[in-house]
Amino acid sequence: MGDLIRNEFLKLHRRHFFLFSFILILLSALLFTVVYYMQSDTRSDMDIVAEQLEREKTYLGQIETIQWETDLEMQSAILTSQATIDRLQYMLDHSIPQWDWRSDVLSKYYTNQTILSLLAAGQDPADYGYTDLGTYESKATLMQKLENLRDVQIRMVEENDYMTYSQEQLAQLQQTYAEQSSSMDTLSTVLMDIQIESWKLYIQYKTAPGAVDQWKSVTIQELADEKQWLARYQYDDQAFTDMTQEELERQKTWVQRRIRVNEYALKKDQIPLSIYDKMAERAKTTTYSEFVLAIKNMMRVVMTIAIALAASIMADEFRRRTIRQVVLAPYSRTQIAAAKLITLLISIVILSLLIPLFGMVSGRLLFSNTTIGQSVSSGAVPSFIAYIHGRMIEIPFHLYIVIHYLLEAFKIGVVAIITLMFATLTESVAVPLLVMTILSLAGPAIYSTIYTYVYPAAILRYMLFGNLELVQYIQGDLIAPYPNYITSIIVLAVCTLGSLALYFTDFKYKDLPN
Amino acid sequence: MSKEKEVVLELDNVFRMHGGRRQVDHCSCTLYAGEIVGLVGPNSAGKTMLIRMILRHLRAQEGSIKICGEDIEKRGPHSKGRVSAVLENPSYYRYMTGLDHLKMATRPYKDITVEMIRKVVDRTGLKTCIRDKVATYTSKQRYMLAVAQALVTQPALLLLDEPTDDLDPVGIKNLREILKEEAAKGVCVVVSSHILSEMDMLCTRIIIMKDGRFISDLSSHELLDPNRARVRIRVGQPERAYEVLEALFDDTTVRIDNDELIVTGENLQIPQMNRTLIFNEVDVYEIAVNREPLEEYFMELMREEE
Repeated sequence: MGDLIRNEFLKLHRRHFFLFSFILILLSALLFTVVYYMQSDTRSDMDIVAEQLEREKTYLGQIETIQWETDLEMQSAILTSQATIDRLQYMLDHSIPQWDWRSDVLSKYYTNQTILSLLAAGQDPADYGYTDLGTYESKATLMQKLENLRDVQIRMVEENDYMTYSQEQLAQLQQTYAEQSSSMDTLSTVLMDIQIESWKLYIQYKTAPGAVDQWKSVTIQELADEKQWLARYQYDDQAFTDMTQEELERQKTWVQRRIRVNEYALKKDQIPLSIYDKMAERAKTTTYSEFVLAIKNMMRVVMTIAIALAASIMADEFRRRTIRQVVLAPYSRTQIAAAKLITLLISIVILSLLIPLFGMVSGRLLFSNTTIGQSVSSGAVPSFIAYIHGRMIEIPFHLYIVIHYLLEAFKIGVVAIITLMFATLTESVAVPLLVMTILSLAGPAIYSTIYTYVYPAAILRYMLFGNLELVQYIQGDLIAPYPNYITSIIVLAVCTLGSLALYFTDFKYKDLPN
Repeated sequence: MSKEKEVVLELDNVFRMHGGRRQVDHCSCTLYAGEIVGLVGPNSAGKTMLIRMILRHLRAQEGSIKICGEDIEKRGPHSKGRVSAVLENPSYYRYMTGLDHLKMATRPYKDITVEMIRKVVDRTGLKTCIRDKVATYTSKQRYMLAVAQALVTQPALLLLDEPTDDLDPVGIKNLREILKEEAAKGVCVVVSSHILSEMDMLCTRIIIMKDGRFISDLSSHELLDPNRARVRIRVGQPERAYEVLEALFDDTTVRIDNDELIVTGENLQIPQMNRTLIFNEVDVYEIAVNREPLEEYFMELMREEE
């Protein structure tokens, strides 16, 4: 049968199939990369701070030309703007990015500085909008308190002492809790518990709060957000009135799984891919992993080529009547059909490799120089972690990429098998090519517009290739809950094996054209 | 058993029905190595259907087809006898070269050498264009490529369906020579054609089909039996001539065809017939011994069948 496969590859070679396919795929991938690169924010963190500084200076320069209701209002805006400029200048001088926890502290520091200047000049800070100054006995004690606070703040910033900062925040929260818990409702109490727990975690894991470059910090923040969502779901009847019960249940399951994943990640000291992507998003940067997964969209080009090949590899022989010569080979029809199927699948595997390879090379070249990207290059590789059916699954990043693309190739293979069967049955190239291309490209777009998760409408999502999105089975986030996980896989297997059986049987017993 | 008598093709009660019509109706025969078998019959007689069934293009619903003793469904690259065919209106991959076609045809057979391929290319006159794409071939070159594809696998059974349709007289003569050479080498050649004169010249055995059945199977030797002649006599009074000749011989068959008498029989005495007709005042314009025995035989058989 190897001879038959070689003959099939010779035909493809003579039609320049691989040459044209390679060119088409690489051009598409290149176009995608260019657009992605141009759209992505590849500025360095300090570039962003410098831009903000320039913008703020421009604003301050034009502030007097703006129509203000009162002079005090204008003066207040000037003071705020000046404080922002001072903060940004400090950050620029000390290489502190916008997302760094010190940015918050510096903001407070320069606000205190402004208030102190006003007090020193005999002005009332309240006139300029600074009303939240707490209780104080006299102007002198207030100034003293603010000066102490300012000194602590600048020391924390200079020493990057986020532990002290976290401890202070925790102590402050616990004090508030002790003072107010008796008067708080259940939801508020739970929410505050969650906040206290978060600060404890920042301290326990020795990570700076709000630091998007520290995955544990981001994970703790995520964990807090997820727990707060659950608390609102449980104690606040009015919180999610815009969602249906099914959507709420789905979201609840998803949040519960995320909580388990994030707790597992902290415990295992392993950065999850979801957090890594979140870090990149917050840091306004595109990472290598993000790009390698994003360029998967270009597998649609491979899918279209695979459909075209599947539609023509057998049906074109009927159309040209060359099938009469093909069956003269001393092999059974089953072997001839198998040779064509194997040629098709090998071609799909070869073409499917192009996109991830291109993605990995161009991703390394273009998206590895960002702060987050560098952490991958230096070895801090994230893992895909998911909680599915009561089991925690952890897959190393590069293996996850391989699995991701293998599943995508498998999906293309299944679509190609269905197309091959369809084309062999009808002995037509054009109809299966048209129908399957439309279904495979438009199917996911259509099912994504079907928001319902309720049977039987949700079934439509599967009929439009929903169950071919195989990644859903490892991510545990099913496109539609009906049919269930196992049924969906069984339906997929039956469709695939059924198509294969139909293909072989039809070709085996088919009368050939004269 | 000599090589010429090796059984190549055995049809045993082969039957196929389609659309309520018996396309091939319980046909049985045995063909031997070295034979050139002509498969003749009117349109829709089942000739092409039978060839397509031997080639596995269509399935026999009953009966069996064996090539060199092996059932066609079980055949593989290592089977004893190979089968190849030149089909009516052969089809090609226009984007491939002639050589590609030959390579693909020979790939399953490891005993085919480059020298053998070269010989076939030379023999079929494709030497100058074998590396060109088939799209650039003339219709004659395309047909000869089909012949080359068929010959290059060194078949034991070679089937040709309406082989002369795409060829000019020179091409037909060349093909005739090639087929005779192949038969001389021991290949069993089966040719289906409408052109009876061509079959007369080429075949060593004729099988006549009608309505899916074999209605006659005889060798060209039998067909050309010198003792059994057919004479056409153009006369002025056919009815009178018929009565005279009917009374003259016991073992002859006489029938009227317009202004002609057709006399069939053994040891026909033409001078005596002529004398008797003249004696009985019948005007004789022409007496001709039939030079196309197959056509005559075929027409006669068709009339009998009707």
